[in-house]
Amino acid sequence: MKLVADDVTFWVRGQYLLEGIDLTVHPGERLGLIGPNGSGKSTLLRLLAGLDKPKRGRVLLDERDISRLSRRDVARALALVEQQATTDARIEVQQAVSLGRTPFLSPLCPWRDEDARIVARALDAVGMGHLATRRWQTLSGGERQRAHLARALAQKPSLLLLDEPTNHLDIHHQLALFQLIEHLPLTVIIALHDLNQALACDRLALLDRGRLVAVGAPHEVLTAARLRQTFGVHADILHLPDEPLPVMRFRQAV
Amino acid sequence: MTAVAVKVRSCGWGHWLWLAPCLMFGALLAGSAIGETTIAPQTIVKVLANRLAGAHYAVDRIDAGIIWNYRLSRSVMAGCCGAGLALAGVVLQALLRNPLADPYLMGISAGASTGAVLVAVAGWGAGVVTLSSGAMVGAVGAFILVTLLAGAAGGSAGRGSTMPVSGTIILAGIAGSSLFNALTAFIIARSASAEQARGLMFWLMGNLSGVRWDDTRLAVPTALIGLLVCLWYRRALDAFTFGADSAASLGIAVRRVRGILIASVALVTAVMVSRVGAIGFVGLVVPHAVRMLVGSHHARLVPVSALAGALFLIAADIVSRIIVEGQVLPIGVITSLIGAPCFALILLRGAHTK
Ligand SMILES: Nc1ncnc2c1ncn2[C@@H]1O[C@H](COP(=O)(O)OP(=O)(O)OP(=O)(O)O)[C@@H](O)[C@H]1O
Ligand SMILES: [Mg+2]
Repeated sequence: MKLVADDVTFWVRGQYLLEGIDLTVHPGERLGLIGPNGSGKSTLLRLLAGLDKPKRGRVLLDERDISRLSRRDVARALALVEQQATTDARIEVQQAVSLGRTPFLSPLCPWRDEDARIVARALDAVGMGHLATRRWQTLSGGERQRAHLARALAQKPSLLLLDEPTNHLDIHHQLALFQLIEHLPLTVIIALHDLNQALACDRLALLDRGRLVAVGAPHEVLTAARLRQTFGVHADILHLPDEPLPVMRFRQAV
Repeated sequence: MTAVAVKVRSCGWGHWLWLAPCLMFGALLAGSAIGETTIAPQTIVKVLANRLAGAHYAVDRIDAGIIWNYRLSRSVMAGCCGAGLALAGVVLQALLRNPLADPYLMGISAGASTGAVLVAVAGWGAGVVTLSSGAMVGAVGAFILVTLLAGAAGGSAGRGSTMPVSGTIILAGIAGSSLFNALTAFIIARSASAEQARGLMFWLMGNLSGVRWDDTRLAVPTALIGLLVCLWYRRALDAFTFGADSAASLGIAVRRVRGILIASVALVTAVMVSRVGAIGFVGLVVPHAVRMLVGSHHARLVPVSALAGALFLIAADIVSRIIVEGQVLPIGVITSLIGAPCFALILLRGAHTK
């Protein structure tokens, strides 16, 4: 599925959070969204997911304005994992994950075995199968993050929007998550802070103070000059002999 | 292993369905039998057969009158109120994601009282507007006022949500209830005669005496409609677990669904309050207890809460009739005596888990 942002602009009380974002996400690609804190990554993801309506411009999902589609149709195509979403309700992990089936169920259509299978597979995909019956409140931060991802996978979306999904994850699960999304036949848009991880994306989009300053292949976007400009850091980009991807090392810019 | 565990969720409480009518029947039977004079269950069954099935058993006419015109109608009304208020609690708690949300604590009942009194005493609407629709306007007004106040007081869930999450809703509810109760008292003082005022004050406490079949004609369908609406939107209620944004990304048309559910809550509360006054704590205690029993899945929580609410109020009504000999307490006193300590318990538990 193709997702297009066309001149997307968003403001709150006269303050621009995003301005004139033009972005095309191609089917099957992994697009990394990077930028300093407060640059508008989460805001852009919410707009792309249709949770907020752009004040100017449009978001097109397969050529159709997302704000004109029903929430249900959007949810069948696209799943979002937000930065922080939690609950006080006494629910089990599998119950939280089965919420992902909501867009496929209707008041008169019961829960089917097929749904149970999808939920179980989603739990296993994020390595949470053994925690299916645990209470949500007893989960660690990283386990919650993975449960949210499982919930999104249970939606069987063709587009997956992830807002800093590696937050709280230990290094093993960070790598496992990247491996997982690399092998999923999905379009993934992922907001990230770890620029070394960002290098593994197909393309990167760099946001700075609500503007899109660069889009392209990782090595084109992450140049030393640009990193100094947007993040205020000095970067050494190292090419190791046996590694396909370069490695970046950072120092405070003076 | 996961597949098995997940599957449990799908089947389950179908086998228990037969229990609901049995329990309801038992409760109504008890409600008709117990009181100042105890009447044998056989007599009640005979009266019911005479009335409903056209049988011709010989029964004492006074007993028949007490059972049919007085106790049974009253128990049916108690059942409807209990079910309706419990459902209102379930919906508010899900939408506001707050275990303390309840039509009484949030001032919705107080608003409904004000609306009803405006129509009944001050004569607003010039006889065209019914008591219930006056109460409905009051209930919706109170809900809007209280949520706006709570939102402005900073309890908002932030980001695209105007729904307050924290304890501010209770503080705002206190402010709202006080305001509406004061308004009600003011209207009564200004417009009602002394005798009218006495009756109204008794009614405001939540009172089932004086309920006749006429009153149930609106209450029964309202409770049933409330139940159907909640069952229809059970998955949407589940989807609000992680907040309104999460519900939206799960495909729920948040504005529409929230509007429908809140309108239903206001309608149910208004109809019940306009007949029997503001009965407190049902919407708080019942869903809470039921959640411990069947979990927070709304496919179960909704029907079981409705049933438990009905049973709870029928029982509370029986207690209110026999606890002080020769006197009938307002039922609101009984529910508050049970509800207030439960409220305190929930508060304490909340404090410990944080
Ligand atoms: N409702 C709001 N009202 C005012 N300002 C807002 C609102 N929502 C977001 N902002 C501001 O918009 C800017 C962009 O926020 P956003 O959450 O999109 O940043 P981000 O790139 O995701 O940051 P982070 O890396 O910290 O997650 C921030 O400066 C934030 O304070
Ligand atoms: Mg963010």
